[in-house]
Amino acid sequence: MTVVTNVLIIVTLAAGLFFFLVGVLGLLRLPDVYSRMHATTKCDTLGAGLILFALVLYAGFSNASVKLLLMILFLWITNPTAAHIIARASYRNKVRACEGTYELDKTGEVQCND
Amino acid sequence: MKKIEKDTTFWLTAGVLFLFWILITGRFHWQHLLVGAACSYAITLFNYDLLLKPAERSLYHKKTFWKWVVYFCVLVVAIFKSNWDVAKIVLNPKIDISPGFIKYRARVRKPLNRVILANSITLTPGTLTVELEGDIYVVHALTRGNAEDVSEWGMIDRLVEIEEVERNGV
Repeated sequence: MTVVTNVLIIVTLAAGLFFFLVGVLGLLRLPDVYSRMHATTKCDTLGAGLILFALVLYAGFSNASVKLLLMILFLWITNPTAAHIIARASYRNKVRACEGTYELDKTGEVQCND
Repeated sequence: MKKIEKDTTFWLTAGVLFLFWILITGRFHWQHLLVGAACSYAITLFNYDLLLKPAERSLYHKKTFWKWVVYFCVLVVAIFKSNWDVAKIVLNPKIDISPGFIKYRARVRKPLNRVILANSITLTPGTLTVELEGDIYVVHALTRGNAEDVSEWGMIDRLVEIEEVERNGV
């Protein structure tokens, strides 16, 4: 294990932890469900990805690292999907959005408000 | 149980599952390989058309393969950028957001591509797919700028272009 790899591992781990921290702070500070989902999904995806990537570097090229790469792949597929489910459930149940939330319609269809 | 044809799709699915088994176990003793082969065969019998639908085999065309590679590279860059954006918003002492919902139509046809697009929107800066019904997307945007960007976003064009190639080339 050379010095360069070690430094790379430490930097990647620190970056992963930083993004997890941002995710948690966002969860606490942002006003409503939807904006909180922004912070948690994006930061968890990259944070977990970076930490797992640091473990891949640590394991070197072996059976374990292949499994870790597969974990990153499946995490990156499932994480936005899960976020979509939570957001969709809130939207369908008309969970209150924070003050000043606007709605734009760019479908180009005529709306019928009755 | 309906009759299952043992065609290319069948053996391709079984092959992918068997490869996955080898990756996970990491052993090449004949007993391991035998159990793996039996399991992938049985799973394919039951879930024949779930993994690689013949009608939707969009990721595996020769012509579009490199376009998909480019697509996912751009996506990874976008993920890093989106995290940086969220970090800037969250760590700012005064939270500066103007959230809103945008409803728009994306001209993407295949269900798999729609799912890929929805997940890409969630992973890229300031946007989150809230609802997907047909080809109408409802997206939650964190700032006004993101809201304006999303409907003329480059990734949609890439997907549409890939579908064009498929329709003309096959």
